[in-house]
Amino acid sequence: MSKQAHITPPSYWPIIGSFGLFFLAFGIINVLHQSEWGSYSLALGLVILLLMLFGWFKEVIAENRAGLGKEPEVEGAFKWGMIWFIFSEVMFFATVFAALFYIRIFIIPWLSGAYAGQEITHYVLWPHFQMQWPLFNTPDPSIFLGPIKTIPTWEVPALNTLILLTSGLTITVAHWGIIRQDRKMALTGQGLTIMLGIIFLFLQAHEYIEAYHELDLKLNSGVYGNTFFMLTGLHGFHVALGTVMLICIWWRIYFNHFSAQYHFAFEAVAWYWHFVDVVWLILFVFVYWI
Amino acid sequence: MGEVVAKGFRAKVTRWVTTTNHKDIGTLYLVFALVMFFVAGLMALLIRAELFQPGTMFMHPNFYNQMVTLHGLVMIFGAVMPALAGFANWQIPLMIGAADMAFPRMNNWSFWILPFAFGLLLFSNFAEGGWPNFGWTFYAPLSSTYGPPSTDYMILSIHLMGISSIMASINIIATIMTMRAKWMEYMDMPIFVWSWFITAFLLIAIMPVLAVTVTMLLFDRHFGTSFFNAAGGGDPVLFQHLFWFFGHPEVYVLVMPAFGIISEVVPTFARKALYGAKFMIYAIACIAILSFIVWVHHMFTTGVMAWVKIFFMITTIVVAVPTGIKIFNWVGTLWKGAISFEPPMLFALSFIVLFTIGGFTGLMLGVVVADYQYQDTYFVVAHFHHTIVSGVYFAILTGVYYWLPKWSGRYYSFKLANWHFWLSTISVNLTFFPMYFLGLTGMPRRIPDYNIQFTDLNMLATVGAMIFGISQLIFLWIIIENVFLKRGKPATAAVWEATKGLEWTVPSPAPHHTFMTEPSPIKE
Amino acid sequence: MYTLLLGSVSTIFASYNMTQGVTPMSHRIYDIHMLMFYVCVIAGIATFGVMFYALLKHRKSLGVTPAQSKGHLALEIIWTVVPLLILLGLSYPAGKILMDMDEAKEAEVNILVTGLQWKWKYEYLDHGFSFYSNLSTPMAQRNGLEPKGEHYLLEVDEPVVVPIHTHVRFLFTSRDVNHSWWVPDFAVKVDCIPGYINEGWVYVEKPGTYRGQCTELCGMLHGFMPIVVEAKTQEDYQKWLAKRMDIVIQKEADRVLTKDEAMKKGQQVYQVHCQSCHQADGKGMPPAIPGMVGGKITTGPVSGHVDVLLNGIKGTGMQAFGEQLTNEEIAAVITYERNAWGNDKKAGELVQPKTIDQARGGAALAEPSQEVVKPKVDTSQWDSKTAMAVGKSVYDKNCQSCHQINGEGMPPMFPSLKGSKVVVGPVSQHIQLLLMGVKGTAMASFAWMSDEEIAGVITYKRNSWGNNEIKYGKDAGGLITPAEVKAMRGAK
Repeated sequence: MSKQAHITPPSYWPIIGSFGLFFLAFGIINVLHQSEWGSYSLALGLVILLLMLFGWFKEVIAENRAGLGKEPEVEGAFKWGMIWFIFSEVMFFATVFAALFYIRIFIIPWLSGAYAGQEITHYVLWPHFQMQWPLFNTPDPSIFLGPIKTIPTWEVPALNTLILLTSGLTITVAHWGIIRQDRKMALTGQGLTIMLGIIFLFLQAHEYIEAYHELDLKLNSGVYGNTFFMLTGLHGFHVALGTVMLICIWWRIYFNHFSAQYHFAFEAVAWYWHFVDVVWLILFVFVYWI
Repeated sequence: MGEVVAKGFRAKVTRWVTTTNHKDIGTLYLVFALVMFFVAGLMALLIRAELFQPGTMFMHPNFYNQMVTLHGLVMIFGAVMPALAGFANWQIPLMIGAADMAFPRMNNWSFWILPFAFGLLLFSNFAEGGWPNFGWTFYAPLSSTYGPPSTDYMILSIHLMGISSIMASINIIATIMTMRAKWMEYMDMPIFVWSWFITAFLLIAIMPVLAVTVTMLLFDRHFGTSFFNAAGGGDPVLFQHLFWFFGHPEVYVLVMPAFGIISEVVPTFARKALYGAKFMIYAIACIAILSFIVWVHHMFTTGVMAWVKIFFMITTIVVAVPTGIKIFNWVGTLWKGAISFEPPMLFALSFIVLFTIGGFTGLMLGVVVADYQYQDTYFVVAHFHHTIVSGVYFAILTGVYYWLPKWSGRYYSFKLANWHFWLSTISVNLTFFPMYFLGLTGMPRRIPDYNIQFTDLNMLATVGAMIFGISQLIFLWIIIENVFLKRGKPATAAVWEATKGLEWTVPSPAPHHTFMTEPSPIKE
Repeated sequence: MYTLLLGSVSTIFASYNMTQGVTPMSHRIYDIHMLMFYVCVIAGIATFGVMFYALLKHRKSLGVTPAQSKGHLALEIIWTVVPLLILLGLSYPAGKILMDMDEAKEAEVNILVTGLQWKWKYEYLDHGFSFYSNLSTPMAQRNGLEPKGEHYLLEVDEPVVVPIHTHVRFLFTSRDVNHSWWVPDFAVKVDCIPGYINEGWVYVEKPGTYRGQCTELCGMLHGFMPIVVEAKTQEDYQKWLAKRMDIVIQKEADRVLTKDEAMKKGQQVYQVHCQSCHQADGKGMPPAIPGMVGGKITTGPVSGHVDVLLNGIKGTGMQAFGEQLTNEEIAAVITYERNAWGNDKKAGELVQPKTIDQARGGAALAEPSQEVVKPKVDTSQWDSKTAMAVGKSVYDKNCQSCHQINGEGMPPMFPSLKGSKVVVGPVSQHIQLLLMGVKGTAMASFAWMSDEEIAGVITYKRNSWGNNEIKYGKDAGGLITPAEVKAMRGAK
C-alpha cells in the first residue's frame, strides 16, 4: 500500500529524438525538392535518431534489469502500450487495404462503365477503358503505363508466405526456450526467425527488381502498381524493422537478460512479428492472389 | 510550480527540456497551446478584416487562402489538441491517484516533437510560393498536382504531429488502464478521465489513417503514383473518404475531453452529483463508435450513391441522440441544485447553450438534401465554429478557470474573468450568428471577396470577431498575472466549495510529485 | 396594419433565409430546411427553458439545499428513445426527396459543365457547341476604384442558358482541381471532380437570371468564378440557340485590325482573362506569376508569344487559351500586351488574326499536343510530311474500303471518321483502338502493322477531312510518333 512510486529522472533522449526527427523530415523535403544538402540533413537525422533509440533503449533495459520491469503496473503499462501501438499499426495497414478495396470495388467498375447508374463517366471521359484487375491498361495510358505482367502468385509470394508462417513457429520455439530457460533452444529459435526474416526480405528485393526490369510493374504503373508497392513496401519496411528488433532480442537472450517470468521485451517483439505475419497473409490473398 | 527550483537560464531551459514530470509537461502543452492560439487567432482576425467589406481590402487572394489553411491547421493541431493534452497530463494522474504517467520519457517526447512540427509548417513560407493554400482539408488534386512546394513541409509536419499524438495517446490510455489506484474500478473513474480514455482510443485509431493519407499525397506528388488521379485509375474522392474517416472522429477528439471538463465543472457548482453519470459514459462511448460511420456527411455533394447518402444521413442524425443525453443530463444536474456562478461555471453554462446550438445546426447539416444548400457555405463555418469556439474553446477556458488555482496555488481575479466571460460570450455570437444567415443567403466559404448583398452581416461578424479577439487578451493577462507575476489570493486544497475527487486532496499548488504512495479512497 | 407589419417582418426574415428557389426540388428542400429548423427551435426552447428555470430558481444565493438525486432510469430511457424516434421519422421525408431527385428522367437538354481554374465551360451536348463563362466584373470595382455594381462578382461574360419547364440534365466534371457548381435557386450543388462525371437535374419554373458561385476551394481565384444561368421560355431559348449555332457555323472573317481596334479589344480580353493573375499593370506576382513589363515573352519574338497563348505552359498556371479565345481575341490581346506598359519600345507589333490562324494550322502538324506523352526516341526524321505520306498509303491500302476515301464511312456499319469521337479525341485512345480493334465489329486489330505505319495512319486520319485542333479542341489533330505507338504496345 505505501510502496513508493518510481520517479523517472529527467532525460535528454526525447529532445535529441526531436532534433533527429526534424532533420530527417527536413532532409526528406529537401531531397524531394532537389536541393543539394537535403541528403545530408536526412542522413544526419537518421544518425541522431538511431543514436537516440540506442541510448534510450539502453536506459530502459538498464532500468528493467535493475528490477523496475518486475513491478506489475510497469509491466502492465508496457503490455498495454505495445497492444495499442500494434492497434495503431493495424489501422495503418487497414487504411491502405481500404484504399485498395475502394479502388477495386468502386473505382475500376465506375471508370469502365460497369456501375449501374454511373455509366456516363465511362462514355464521356474514358470510352476505351475496360474493367480489369490487375490493371494492365490504365484509363489514360499516355500518362500512366500499366504493367506488362504481374508477379505470379504461386512462385515467390507463396514461398514467402511459407517462410513467414515458419518464422511464426520458430519464434514460438524461442519463446519455449526462454520459458524453459533453455538458452540454446531460445537462441536457435530466435536465430532461425532472424534468418527467415532476412530470406524473406531478400526474396522481396529480388521480386522488386524483377518487377521493375522485366514486368514493367512499377510504383507509377497506375493504381495496380501504386497499391502493390505501397502495401508490399510498407509491409517489407515493417519486416525489416521487425528483423532488427529480433536481432536486438537475440543479443539480449545471448546476454541472459530474460528470466522465465520476465521477458516482456521478447514478447513485445514476438507480438509484432506475428502481426506482421498476419498482415502478410491478408496481403498475399488480396494483392497477389485474387 | 513545484518544489524544483532551477537557478539560472541554462538550468531553467534544461529543466523544461528534459523534464519527465507530468505536471511540467502539462504546463508545456498548455503554454504551447496558448501561443499557437494567439498565432492562429491573429490569422482569423486578418481573415475577418479582409472580409469587413466587399472588394480587395489589403489581402491578395492567395494570401487569403494561406491564412484560411494555416488558421485551421494551427488551431486544431497546434492550439486545441495540445491544450486538451495539457489537461490530460496535468489531471489524469491527479484524478486516478497515480504518481505520474506510464511512460514519462515518451511523454516528454510527445510534447517536444510539436514545436519542431509547427516550425516546419510555419516556416514553410520560405519555400517558393509561400505557405500551403488549399484549406486545412488539403483536398487532392489541389494539394497534389497543384500544391505549392510548401505542401511537402505540411505533409512531413503532419507526420510529426501524428507521431506525437499517437505516442501521447498510447501513454494516456496505458496510464488509465494500469496506473489507477487499486481500488478505482473503471466505472469509478472521474468522467474527465473517461472522456480522455475514449479520446485516446479514437486518436490511436485515426492518426495512422491521416498518416497514410498524407503519405499517399506525398507519393502522388513526387513518385508518380495516381491514388487521387483518375488517369491512373485513382479517384480524388478517395482522398476525401480517407481524410474524413480521420477528420470526423478528429472533431470528436476535440469535443470529447470538452464534454469531460464540463461534466466535472457543472456538478461542482450545482453542488449535486453528475446526473446519470453512467449514461454520460455510455453516451461518450456511443458517440465515439458512431463517429467512425458518419464521415460521408462531409461529402454529400461529391456524387456518392443515393443509398450511401441515406445510410450516412441516418447515422449522422442519430449522433444527436447520445449528444442529447449529455445535454439533458447536464440540465438534470442543474435541476434542483444549489447553483453558483463562478467563472468556470459561467463558461460551462455558456458551453451548454452554444454547443447545443452548434449541435442543432449539425443536425440540419446532416439531412442530405438540405445539406446541398448548406454544404461549403458560411452555414457550415458558423456551425463548426459554434461547436469548436463556443464549444471546445469555452470548455478549455472552463477547465483553466476551474483547475488553475490547483496548478498555480492562487486564485485569479474573478472580476476580470467575468469581464472575459461576458465579452467572449456576446462577441462569439455576434461573430458566428450572422454567418448562419450569410450561408443561407448564398455566401460560399473560403472566398476573399463577396457580393454587396452580404456586406452588413459580414461587417457584424468582423466587429464581433475583433471584440472576441481583443477580449482574449484579458485571459492572457489573467494567466500572466496568476502564473508569472504570482499575484492572487492563495488557494485552499479544495479550491472550490463543493469539489470532489482525488485532485482536490493534494495541496494547492499541487506539489511537483503527488501520490508517491497510493491514496486511499475518498469517503463520500 | 398588422398584416403590413407581419408582412415586412416576414420579408426581412425571408431575405436572410434560404431561398425558396424556382424548381420543384428547391421548394421541397426549403420545406425540409424549415421543418428541421422548427424542430430544432422547439427542442431548443424546451431544453433551454428547463435549464434557465433551474438557473433562476435553484441558485445557491436563494438558499436552496441541493437535491440528492443521481439519475433516473425512466427519464434516461425517455430522452433516448423519443429523440431517436423523432429523428428517424425526420429522415424519412428527407430520404424521399433524395430518391425523387435521383430518379432517372428523360433529359431534353444535356449540358456538360466543366470547371477550370477559374472559369466554367458549358458544352451543349445535343447541339455540339460550347463556350466559356468568365467573371466580367471589372478589376476597378474590385480595387475600389469604381463603385460596385449590384451583381458585383456574380456576373459573367456569357451566361449559360436553359429553357424553362424542361428537364435539363447537367453533367459536371473538371479539368484540373475539384470545383463545385452551386445555384441556390435550383438547390443544385454538385462537385466537379476531374476524371469523373456527376449529374444534376434542373426543372426551372420561372424565367429569369439566377446566380451562384463555385463552392469548393479550387485555388487562388476560387471566389471569382461565378455562375449565371438565364432561364428562358422555350421560344426565347430556341431563338438563342439558333443565334448561338450561327456563331459556331459562321467562319471567322479574315478581319484586319487597326492598331486602335486591336488595343481596345485586347484590353477587354486582358481584363477578363489575364488581369487577375498578371495584374492591371502587367507586373504579375513574381515568382509564381511572371510580369509582362519588358518580359521575355512579351518583348521577344511574336511566334513565341503566340505559342504561349495558344498552348499555355505546362506545369504552371498559364493555361492554353487556344480553344478558349478566337483568333481575333488572341491577336488583339497579344497586340495589347506588346504595346502596353512601355513594351511598345521593345516590341510594339500589331498582330493580325491571320497570324494566329496560321500558327494554329502550323502547330497542329508541327508538334504533338500538350497532353501526349513525350516521344522517347529521336524522331527528328519523323515530321508531318512523312507521317501524312505514310498514313495516306496505309489508309488507301487498309482502311479506305470500309471508311471510304472521304472518311465518311458507311454508317451505321462503318462509322464516319469525320469528327468521330475517337479520331478527334485523345491520341492514346485512338492508338489503343487501332492496336486492339473493337470487339464484335468489323474493326480488326491492326497491331501487326509497324509502329511507323500506325503512327502515320493515325496522323493522317486526325488531320484530314477537317479533323483538326481548331475545330475539335486540343485533343484533336497532332502529329503522332512511332514512339507513342510503341509505348502503347507496352501497355498491353
